[in-house]
Amino acid sequence: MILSDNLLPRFLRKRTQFLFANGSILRMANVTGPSTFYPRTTVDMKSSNGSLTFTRGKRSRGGGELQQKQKMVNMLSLISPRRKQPQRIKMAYEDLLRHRTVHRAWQLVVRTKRVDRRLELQKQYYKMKHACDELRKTSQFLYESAMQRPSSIRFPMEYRIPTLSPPRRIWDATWRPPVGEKKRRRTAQL
Amino acid sequence: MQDRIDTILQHYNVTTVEDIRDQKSRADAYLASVEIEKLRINAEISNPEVIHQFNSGNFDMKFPVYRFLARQRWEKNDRLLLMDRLENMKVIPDTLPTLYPRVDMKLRFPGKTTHWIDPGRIMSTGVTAQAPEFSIQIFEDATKLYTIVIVDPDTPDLESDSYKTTLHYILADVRISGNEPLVDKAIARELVPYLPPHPEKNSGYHRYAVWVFEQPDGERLAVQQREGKDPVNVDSLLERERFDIRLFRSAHGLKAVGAHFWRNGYDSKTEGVREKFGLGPGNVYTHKRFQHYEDYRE
Repeated sequence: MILSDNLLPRFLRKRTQFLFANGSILRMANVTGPSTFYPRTTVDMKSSNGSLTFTRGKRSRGGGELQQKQKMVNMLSLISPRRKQPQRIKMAYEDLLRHRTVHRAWQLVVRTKRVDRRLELQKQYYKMKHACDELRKTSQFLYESAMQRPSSIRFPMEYRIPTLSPPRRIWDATWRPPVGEKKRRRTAQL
Repeated sequence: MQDRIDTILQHYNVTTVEDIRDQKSRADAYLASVEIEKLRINAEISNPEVIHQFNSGNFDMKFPVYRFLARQRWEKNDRLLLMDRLENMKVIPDTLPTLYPRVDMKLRFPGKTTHWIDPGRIMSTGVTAQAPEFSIQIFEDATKLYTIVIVDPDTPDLESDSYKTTLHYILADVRISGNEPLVDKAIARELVPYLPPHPEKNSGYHRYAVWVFEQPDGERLAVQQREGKDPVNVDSLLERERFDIRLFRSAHGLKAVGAHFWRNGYDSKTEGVREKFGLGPGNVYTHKRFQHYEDYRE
């Protein structure tokens, strides 16, 4: 029978908490049976020669909920970009000079490519624009049909996704659509 | 690089940049000179040898690269610090309305261990009893004349129950070039001799603002008498007790290019400074505010 702590007279109650200088608390449970609670305050009281072995529990007030929240916060901070920066470059003076030269040269290469690509795209865009302006002057009907955007529906939803190898059963002649309420038609009429 | 410079000059049909000003206009000449300077900078800026020379301090300011690098270094840190201090301590609206800094102005007081002080530093009255040393670093390839004015906007003015500006020092015709930033007082003209700071007890920290003005057209400092306007009385401008720095600036046609300041409060050395320079005993202010000043005045 497990005797509750409160029913024992005070002088019979064992000292269950030992507070150390570094803040950790050594706790002992007064139950003789196996502890089914969270193991931070468990005590392994089994021993062969009568001496007791304890486990240390860190002082924690909030308990499980606070730790779970902290874990959640840690995971979110890993995903978020807050305070994430490239590493600071630590180099000797001469190496820094070399790094500067190389860095500037590379930035120049990248800038040239970027500028050239931008110029190319710009030329293409304005060619298209001028062509469309000329078309508009020529024929309003042709211009408007050219300005129509294609339908965003490309394939019917029921189409089979292509795979590398064929299915085990290639064609089921006896297949019928499942009987149920008719869904709204979302695909193009074929 | 040289062929690109030649193309710019050919565009204007001239051989040198100075000819553009005569042929076309000052604006065109300025733009062309800026373009040419950019080309000269870009030709040398990638060279690590140049960077090393700059970092080790042995360079000549006649080269546009070094001027550019010096200016870049100043703008990155010291200029920001200066503007921050000037604005936070409100030196800027209290003396002149604002400042667009063009020169790197440094200030130090002579003594055993002297460093260039950072703007707004609280100094001891004993240290500031001596006239400070200045260094004006310009980022142009020119030799110009500058005027240095030291002003205290925090002297209590009991009549108006406010503050007035006192004049502490004016040094005019300071010749400065890119390679010689240190101010040589022997060549310059001291209009108003140095009056050491002597703040009164319980009047708080006084700001001593140092303004650097560029003299117009590199000429000697002189009052610009305008036609059609009232003649300016030169003597009234240099009044120590009640100095109007804005009037001084406009009367002489000066352009503010740099500033600095330090702070002084009443400390253990102030009485000694007053005695040494014959400045008389100062007032002692209290926290209690009197209703009518006239009743308590002796």
